[in-house]
Amino acid sequence: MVESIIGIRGKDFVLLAQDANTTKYGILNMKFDTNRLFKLSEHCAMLAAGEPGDVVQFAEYVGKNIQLYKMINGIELSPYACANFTRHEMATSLRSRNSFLANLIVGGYSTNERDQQRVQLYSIDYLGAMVSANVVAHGFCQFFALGIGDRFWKEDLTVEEALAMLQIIVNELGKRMAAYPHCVFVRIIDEKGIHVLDNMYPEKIHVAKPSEGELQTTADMMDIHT
Amino acid sequence: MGDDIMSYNGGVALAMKGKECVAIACDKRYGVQNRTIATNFTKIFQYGDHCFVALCGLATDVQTVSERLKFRTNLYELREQRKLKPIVLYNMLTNLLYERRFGPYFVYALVAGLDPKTGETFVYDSDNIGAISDNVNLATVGTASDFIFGLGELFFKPNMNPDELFEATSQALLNGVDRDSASGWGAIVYVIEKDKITLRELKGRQD
Repeated sequence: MVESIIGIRGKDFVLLAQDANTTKYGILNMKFDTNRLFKLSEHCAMLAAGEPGDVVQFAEYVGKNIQLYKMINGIELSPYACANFTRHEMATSLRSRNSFLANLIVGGYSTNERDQQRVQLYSIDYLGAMVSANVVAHGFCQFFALGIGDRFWKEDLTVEEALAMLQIIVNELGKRMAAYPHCVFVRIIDEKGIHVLDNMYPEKIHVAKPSEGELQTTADMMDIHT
Repeated sequence: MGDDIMSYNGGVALAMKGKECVAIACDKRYGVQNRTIATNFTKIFQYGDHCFVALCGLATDVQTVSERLKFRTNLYELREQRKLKPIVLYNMLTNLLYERRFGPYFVYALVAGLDPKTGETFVYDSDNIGAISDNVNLATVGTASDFIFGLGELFFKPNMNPDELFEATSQALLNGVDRDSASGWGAIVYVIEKDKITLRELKGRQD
């Protein structure tokens, strides 16, 4: 719940961002460069957050099976197909011995020219409910990312605009989340593939120094030495 | 709210009969308890030229049941080499749900359809373990179903033409979802007639 994963749909790209912290016992920061992105194919990737073991086990299982499909059938699955496969696995495992507490974002660019929507972004929760949206997020950052997305997202977002919106989200997380995201990894998927962009950091909060006046108490104001 | 599974994601659907036409409508909200995540989650699925199913309840089960039903209906059409009738679809759906009698899917279902040759109309509903109902005039499922039932009974008249039916269905749905926080954010209405199916999107209160 404390881990942030965010996806933003742009004009001809998908922006996938994740915080890079791993926290323990609710208070310790263990690691500052955790990777939560799992490549599913050349033009499709999945961000996963939730129970630590479940996340890696499920994501690797799905990723490897999608790679296997490509090896057997010789074609790359579109992000829509990857997301549906992932959802099906999640829904099947829900009522079995091994269920996974992992919330996922599957996003990518479809290389199939006949797809109407080439840029595809899906959110799959730990129960296996899948939905497509322009801005998706999981965890506590959902409260911030969806609200900011409602305000700033528009059709045909350029990379700069999307990064600006993401910076606003990251600043807000830095300001309001007790689990401060020291660093946010940003990746973009367009028709050329998956690219890693520069890390994003929350902006430093400037707090005014308390004034001397506040140090004075009522006792000081009473002149008791006459 | 608490931990009531049927209202975890929210949503509502309604089906109403007219004269040689049926309407089926649902809202578009996808939420998690009191948070709205998306506003494009429709709960109506088509399984044939004139057969529609609406599923309301836990979103993951809505998707799973609609997929499993699609699998069975596809196989039916391949094996039988004929199109589905609404009553057959309804029986398949209730059978699918009863298979999980002691570990059920958390969806309530509505089936609406039409026989294009005779113009006979069908509206059925089901609970989450596949209880069979009669062919009724009006049926609703979902978190706001009680509110919509009241309005639906009020607006329903026998033998409505497609336009009147659309108005009655839309008004019942839109005003009913305004009383429920877990439904709303737009609606879609299918009006199914012998020769055409009209899909209309309603805007409604965006809250």
